[in-house]
Amino acid sequence: MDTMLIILVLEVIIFGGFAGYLQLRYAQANYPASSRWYWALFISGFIPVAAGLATFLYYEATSFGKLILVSILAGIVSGLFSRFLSPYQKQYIYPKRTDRAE
Amino acid sequence: MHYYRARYYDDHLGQFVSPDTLVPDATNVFDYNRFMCVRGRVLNMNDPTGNYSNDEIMQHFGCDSWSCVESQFNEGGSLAGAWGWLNVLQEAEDGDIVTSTMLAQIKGQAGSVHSSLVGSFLFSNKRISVNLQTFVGSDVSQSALEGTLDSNAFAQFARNGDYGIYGIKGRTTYGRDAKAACYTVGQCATQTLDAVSTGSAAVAAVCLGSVVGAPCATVASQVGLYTGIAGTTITSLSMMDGMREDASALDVGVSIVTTTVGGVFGPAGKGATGFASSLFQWWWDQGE
Repeated sequence: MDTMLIILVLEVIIFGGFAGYLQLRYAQANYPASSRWYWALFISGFIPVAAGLATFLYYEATSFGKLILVSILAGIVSGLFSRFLSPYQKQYIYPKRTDRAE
Repeated sequence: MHYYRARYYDDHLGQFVSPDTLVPDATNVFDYNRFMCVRGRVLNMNDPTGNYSNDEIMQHFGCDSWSCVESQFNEGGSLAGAWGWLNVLQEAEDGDIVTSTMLAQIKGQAGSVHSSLVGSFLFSNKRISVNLQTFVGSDVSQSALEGTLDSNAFAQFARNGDYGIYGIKGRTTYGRDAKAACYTVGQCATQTLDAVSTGSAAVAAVCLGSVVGAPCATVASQVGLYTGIAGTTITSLSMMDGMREDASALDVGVSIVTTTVGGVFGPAGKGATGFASSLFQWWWDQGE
């Protein structure tokens, strides 16, 4: 179990840290409305939670179907948080700039 | 003054002068008056034994002193580390329904073993025994059992797995080792994730108030969000698994609220909101 907990925490910190870096770059780019950015944010949020839960459920000796289903569903929720709510949250730190062309 | 095992009775006052050591049924309002006897219905109910006294527990283990009893639970003793079982014996009385549950992971295989022995306590001939009633298998199937088992052997059943839990029906559930912080994989995982989440929120709050600043806070708060979502999912899975009693719908609800509040409003108020919600979640799961 200790091995599982170490892998779970490392996955969430490393993949989550990378997702945080993407959020930072997105905020510094002033939150562009680009589908490429949207997919990058979604996938970066999907991976840490899906990978972490797959690790937990593998060590829990859960059935393969349940492992896949739970990991994907929780990953999608996390991806949606990263795509929609996190950019909103980051505006507390990096307020969105409104460029005024004269 | 008369000694009735679990408490003292003063016949001049006509009532118990020490409170009962437990609330037998948390849903019965009379049980919260711990100076009352058999809920005031003394004509048609009785409580002949009270809890097992330390003397009875010492007799059971063949000891002359309490330190001798404790030595059975220290390293090298017959029930080494099973302090939860000693708590059960101190709060039990004849007739109490008791469970001894073994939780075992089968690594590399699909499935895990969660099995329970269920019986009722009986003190006779200076020994505490358990009248066996039921065996509950990992698929929640039940089979009736007959016969009497020495309580030490009953306690050993839970010790066969990776984890073990003892419980008295209607009262507290104890891990086999009362000193452990967690007893199931789900409980240990959520507590670990809570610690990471609280740490991330603390880092985010410190970064927002220091020269390291916004980039550090952005990354740390994002890590906190993912640990919150993973922890909430694991709590939900634990609630849905009927054999485990370590998570409730309330736990899931609290986890969803703290994750959402921390995830959406984390950096508001210089990170204090995120840190407070993570800290509350950590405190909540410690109390499971």
